[in-house]
Order: sequence, then C-alpha cells, then structure tokens
Amino acid sequence: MHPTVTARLDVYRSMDTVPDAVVDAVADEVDRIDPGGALDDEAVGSFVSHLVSALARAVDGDTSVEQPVEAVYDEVRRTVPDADSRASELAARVSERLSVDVPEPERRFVAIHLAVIDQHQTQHQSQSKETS
Amino acid sequence: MKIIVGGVAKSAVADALKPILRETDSVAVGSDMDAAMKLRSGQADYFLGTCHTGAGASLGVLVGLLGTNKCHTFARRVPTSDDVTAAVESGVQALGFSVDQVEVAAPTIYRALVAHDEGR
Repeated sequence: MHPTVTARLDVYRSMDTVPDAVVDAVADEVDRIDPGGALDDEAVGSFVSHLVSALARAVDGDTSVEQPVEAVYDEVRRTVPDADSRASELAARVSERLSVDVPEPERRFVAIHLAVIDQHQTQHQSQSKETS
Repeated sequence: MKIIVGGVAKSAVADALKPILRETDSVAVGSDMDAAMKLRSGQADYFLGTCHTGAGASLGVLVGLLGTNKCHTFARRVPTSDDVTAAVESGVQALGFSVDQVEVAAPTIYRALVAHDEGR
C-alpha cells in the first residue's frame, strides 16, 4: 500500500469513533484494488474516506443515506460497466466480514468511487509506460 | 482569509469561489491531510470539503486530526448564512457539504465567512 494511503488509514485507526475492524476491512479492499501499492492518497483517498465513514455508520446501525445523483451513477454504468459488479462484490465481502448491511445507495457510491480509481490507474499505467 | 478546498469536488469548489474572492483572500486545492497541518499552524483559516453525501467523508480525516468541535458537515443540505455563522462562531474551521450542492453552497459558505471575518 502506498505510504500516503497508510497514513490516512492510520488517522482513522486513531479515532475512537471508527472501529479497527472497519479500517482493516477498508485496508484489505485497497490492497485488493491496488496490490502493488502504486496508487497514492490522491487516487484512492476519497474512496478510503467514503468507505470508512459508510462502514462506521453501518456498524453503528445507521444505514440512512440518499441515492447518488442518478446522472452520475448512469455515467459510471455506461463508461465503466464492471464497476457495478465489482461494487456488489466489495459490498458482499465487507457485509459478511463486518456483519452489517450495505444499503444499495452505498453500493452505488462505491461503484462511482471504483470508476474514479480506474481512471487514476489508467493514468498511472500510461505515465509508467511513457517513462520506461 | 486562506481557504483550502478538498474532497471529490475540490476543483469545482475552487472554480465557484475564485470569481468572488476578495483581494485579501485565497483559495487553494488540497487534501484534508494537508489542510489539517495548515489549519493547526495558522497557514490556513478554513477547509471546505466535499463528498458524494456531504457527510463524514467530506471532511475525511479532519475530524480525527482537528477534533469534532472544529468540524461540521451540512450533508446534502444547502446551508444558510446563519448556519455557517453559527458554526464558525463556535470554532469550526472545517466545513463539509455535498458535491451536488457545490454551485449554491460554496458561495453561500464563503460569503458567510467573509461576513464573519468583517464582524458583520
């Protein structure tokens, strides 16, 4: 994992309001997305913060969240077709691991974040090719 | 005033504020992690953060680094000037809101910060 991402997770780990189990689950999802640790906080920080907050709320029994803007979600489904299924798989994993329900709106937000991360990964790969 | 803007809509917030800034004010795009250091040291006055829900993620790690008493989110609501004034008067330096409210919320928040700064 990129050290800047570890730093973000460490801050959440220090917070009493965020269970360690949530931070661990999110860390593992980041490692799954980026096993080489190439993506920095700029690329995955928003995803980390969103997922930590969402899962901390879920552990607390708070599943109240509005749907994302339909146009944004539709754009994701159109441009990154597998983001939806990957978000579903992520939601299933964390749901089982933490024994929480991940509501449909949160699953959609995860899909949006995964699509954004995809853009960063593509950019990173292009830059790596240019410099090699 | 020195304002740092962060989160998923940071560029949009910066674009919304730049045309209405006073000459003495500045807005810089940054991360919540950088903002924490700058707010603590006085190098920045406020952080405006955005996320998809305007909830906790809009302020990222700032709740942990600054403390809950210095952070406030408006979630998906568009804050009124009075909302912002009440927050900053209680010591809040980090304000969070939703990406789908940027165009209205960002100028509203900024103008309230200016009013507070000018003692109005």
